[in-house]
Amino acid sequence: MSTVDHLNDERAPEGPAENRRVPRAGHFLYLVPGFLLYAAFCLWPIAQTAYFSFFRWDGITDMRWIGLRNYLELFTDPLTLTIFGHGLVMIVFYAILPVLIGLLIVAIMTRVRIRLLAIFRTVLFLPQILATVVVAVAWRWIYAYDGPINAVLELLGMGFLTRAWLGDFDTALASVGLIGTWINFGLCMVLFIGGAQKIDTQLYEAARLDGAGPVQEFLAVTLPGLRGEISIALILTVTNALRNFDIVWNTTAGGPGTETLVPSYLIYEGAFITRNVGFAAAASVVLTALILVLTASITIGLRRRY
Amino acid sequence: MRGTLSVLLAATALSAAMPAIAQDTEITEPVSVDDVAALGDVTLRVWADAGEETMLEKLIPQFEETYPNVTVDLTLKGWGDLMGTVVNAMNSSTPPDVTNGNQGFAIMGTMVRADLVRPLDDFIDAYDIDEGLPASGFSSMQWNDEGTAWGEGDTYAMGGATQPLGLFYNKSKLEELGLEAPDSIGDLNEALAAAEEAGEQPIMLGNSEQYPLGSHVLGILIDMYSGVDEINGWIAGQEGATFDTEGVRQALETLESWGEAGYFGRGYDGMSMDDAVASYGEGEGVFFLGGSFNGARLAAVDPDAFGFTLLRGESGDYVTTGTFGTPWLVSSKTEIEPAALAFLGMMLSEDFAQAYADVSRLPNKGLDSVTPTGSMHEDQLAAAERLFEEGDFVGYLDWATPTMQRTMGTQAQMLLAGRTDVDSFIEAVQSDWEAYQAERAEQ
Repeated sequence: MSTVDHLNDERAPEGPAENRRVPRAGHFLYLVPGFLLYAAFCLWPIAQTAYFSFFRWDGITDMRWIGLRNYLELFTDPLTLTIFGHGLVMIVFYAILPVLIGLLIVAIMTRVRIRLLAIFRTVLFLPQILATVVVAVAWRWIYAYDGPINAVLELLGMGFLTRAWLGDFDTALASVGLIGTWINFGLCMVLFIGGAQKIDTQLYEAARLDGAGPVQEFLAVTLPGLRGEISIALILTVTNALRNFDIVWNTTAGGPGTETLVPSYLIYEGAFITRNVGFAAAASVVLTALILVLTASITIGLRRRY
Repeated sequence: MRGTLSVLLAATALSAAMPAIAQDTEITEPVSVDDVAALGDVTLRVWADAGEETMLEKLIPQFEETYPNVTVDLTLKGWGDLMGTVVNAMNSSTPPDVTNGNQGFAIMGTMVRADLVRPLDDFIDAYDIDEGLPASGFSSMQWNDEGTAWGEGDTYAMGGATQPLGLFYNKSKLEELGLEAPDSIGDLNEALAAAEEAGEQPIMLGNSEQYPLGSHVLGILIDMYSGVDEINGWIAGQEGATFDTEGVRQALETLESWGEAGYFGRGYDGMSMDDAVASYGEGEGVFFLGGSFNGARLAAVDPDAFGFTLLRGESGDYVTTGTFGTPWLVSSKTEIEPAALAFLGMMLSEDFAQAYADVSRLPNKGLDSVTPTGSMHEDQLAAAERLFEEGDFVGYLDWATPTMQRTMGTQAQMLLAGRTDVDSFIEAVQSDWEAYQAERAEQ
């Protein structure tokens, strides 16, 4: 039975049931090559990582079974807990702020016609496509003690606020986070603009006829219409927030003190610096689980209700 | 009885044969061109830190000309990248024949433990590598067979150009301030106060990578107030060693007071070390505490504007953290061992020393015979010579445990920000150390 026959079957649903069932089983054969690739390069490494997490291993010499000790260490060491806490703070900067900014831009756009929209959109999307190392180096300069932020503060007579923003215990985490906001809001905006263009303009007309103001219109029409896009944006940015490493590594290396250490840093350090592969694997498993739980909650929470 | 004897004899024969099996290619004299030619046309795989690039650019053509049957395949990596990948590369079926590594348990220890590297004692003897060099510089490259303790045992590595930590000073600024170049920690403390009073920034520091405050700056201070053996013993993980010593306390209190006095200026935690060296080169700051490896950059700006000196500690001796340079290791799996040894032999020879000196480095061989690039380089060569003759090397504090670099870097930032005190600093470091010693005992 070929696919074509099956398509014919679909167009003729009154055909015999067996005719439909047999080719369906055969169809799974088409999935085998893809599945094998997926299993070899995704599932197998995941299984291996989970397996390694029960060992003490330097990556080279013999592994030593230590049961749940890596997990125990992960959940009892105050430092690792703080580090996962930083991961959650990053969600605010990498996911929630960009989504809010994206929504604000869309809300304005649905009321005001913006000239040169394409250029505007491209420029705001740009941070998303720049290499993160370039972004990090640029922001290091912006945040530096003799950088432009402090220069502006001096000009405004607020010299008392100046500091090395990435090197200050009080501002480092937020400063790193805001880089993430800058990178991600363009993505959210582009997703939302695309989504808003699909919303039936009649809905806006109806809302306006009913006397809705900008806020009501946004809440009643735009926001519900963007539910799917918000869900996608959150999944992408939350994942991005939790596995964030390159920006931190290239701006603060986790400092000052331990203020900007994030979970991915723990994994990197265990796997490549301290050669504590088992601990790095355990941290990876916990991080993966955390990402899965959060993205699943987002998907379920924002599922379209038909 | 006879049975016991024959077993004993067999055991003796076996133990006599063992080293021969492990190192059946032990050399007694330098590898000859013919030895290498006998390999036929081969490729020598070399992995190196990017800092070695200029040296290798000179070495490789010279090597390929002397040994025309060998082609060198060079892989250069940044330091972090190299450290993250070199152990796995050495463990692969096609490892580099010659590579840069690093001291300490995580890199060299793992390689020794997994039998990935060849002991180099025979090579060092055959090429007279250790002639005129202080034995204390070799201890960080000597390991027991299990790769669990260093300080004695076979020597597995050697560097080409020594890298002592020390004090750079801006000559014209010292002159303006009416100060002599400091020779001891006491002199330095006075000079710092005078610089501060005159409205200069006493010390240039860029520490955004949590480095070099907790490693170089603190390392130098600890050297000043501690006994060499005391600190080296602690770094090597000797039983009963502690970080809670009078010397360490004094060093931390000094660091803290430097911070309180504002000697490092503002914003140092937001500036990278490279940027700080660049600013220092442009004339900001009176002193810079760092390694001789920071010198090349300064010499490139002006070979005569800066000076370099080691400091005498409280003991009156020159004591400083340092090494013979980024260590080179030879793979135990190399199939072209003569070529690998010839490559290192040429790199570490006195004939090649000028190539290091041309980029303001300090070749272990030939400190007194090379032509310096300027007066700062001359200072550095003289300092290294003095160290080789009468001083002692202390290890880097971060060799103590795989996590020590971060612990020290973190704690040092916190100390200067007033987020921790000397007691908690010592406690944090010592508990990192103890946790690792416990783990080492389990291995």
